[in-house]
Amino acid sequence: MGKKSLDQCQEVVELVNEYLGHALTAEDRAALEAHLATCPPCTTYLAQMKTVLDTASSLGKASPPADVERQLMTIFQHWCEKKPRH
Amino acid sequence: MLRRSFQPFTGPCRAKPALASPVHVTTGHAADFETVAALLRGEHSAFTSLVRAYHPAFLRLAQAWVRDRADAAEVVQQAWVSALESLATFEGRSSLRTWLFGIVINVARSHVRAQKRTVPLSALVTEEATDSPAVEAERFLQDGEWVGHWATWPTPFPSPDSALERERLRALLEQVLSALPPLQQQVMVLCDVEGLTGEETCNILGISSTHQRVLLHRARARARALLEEIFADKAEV
Repeated sequence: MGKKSLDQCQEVVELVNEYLGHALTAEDRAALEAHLATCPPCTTYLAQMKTVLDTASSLGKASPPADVERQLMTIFQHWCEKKPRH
Repeated sequence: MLRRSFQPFTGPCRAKPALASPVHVTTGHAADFETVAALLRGEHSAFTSLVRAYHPAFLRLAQAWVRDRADAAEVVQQAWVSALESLATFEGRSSLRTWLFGIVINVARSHVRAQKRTVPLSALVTEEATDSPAVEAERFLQDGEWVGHWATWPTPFPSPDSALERERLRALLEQVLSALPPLQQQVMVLCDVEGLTGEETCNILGISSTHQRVLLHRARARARALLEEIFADKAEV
């Protein structure tokens, strides 16, 4: 029995999520990488998805504005004053 | 004396997903208990760290339910109050982060219910988690020798190499995220922005792992498609 092949780009794009999440079987991964090696548009699609995920993970790093932080600290201070002593 | 009504965590550690590495205030349940104890002692620095680590995520999650930014900010403020008031009941059954995100979502849902604009979760899941292709079928050739190959090639995104491009991409992705349907938006925020595992995301949102996977797949595909549309529009100008 020959190696598994992924000939159609339409099939490849459905596997990109699992590929990026390291959730593909070794056989599927090899077939997908073989397809990518000869398919510029699917390589572009993969790069687009990587950009989406890399950008998403960088969104979490922004701090809240100073005025919001001040407001919340006031809330915390009020809570400290009225909570029962521990 | 400090009242410790929470129980020590004895469950397994969870692996972090490979693609997200946001900064977090805690690294494990022991650290969570230390944070809770510091808050109960009234340590301002502990609360500042929590606010800096989670406030942006709180706002994104609230905005999935409450689209108006001012209303969402109010929901988030209410969630912080609610978290502080419930703090002594934190038992470490989940991480502090998961527990806090759960509170935000409960407060946001209650807000929507109070506005009588509520849609049952099951209806949202049915609507948003239906399986559909990652890329519209019309982007591929439908017949001939090259059937299933790209008919219209995807356009490369600008390279995020410069700080300016990274900032622009972040602003556009914020815009795209806020345009996603509520559950898809929340799943993508929790998994891809905050780096939570699928299991944690399911626990917070009260959805099955199958639905979580479909919602994440659809959210990412939609986010990519929307970004592509934005860049294509800019290229035409």
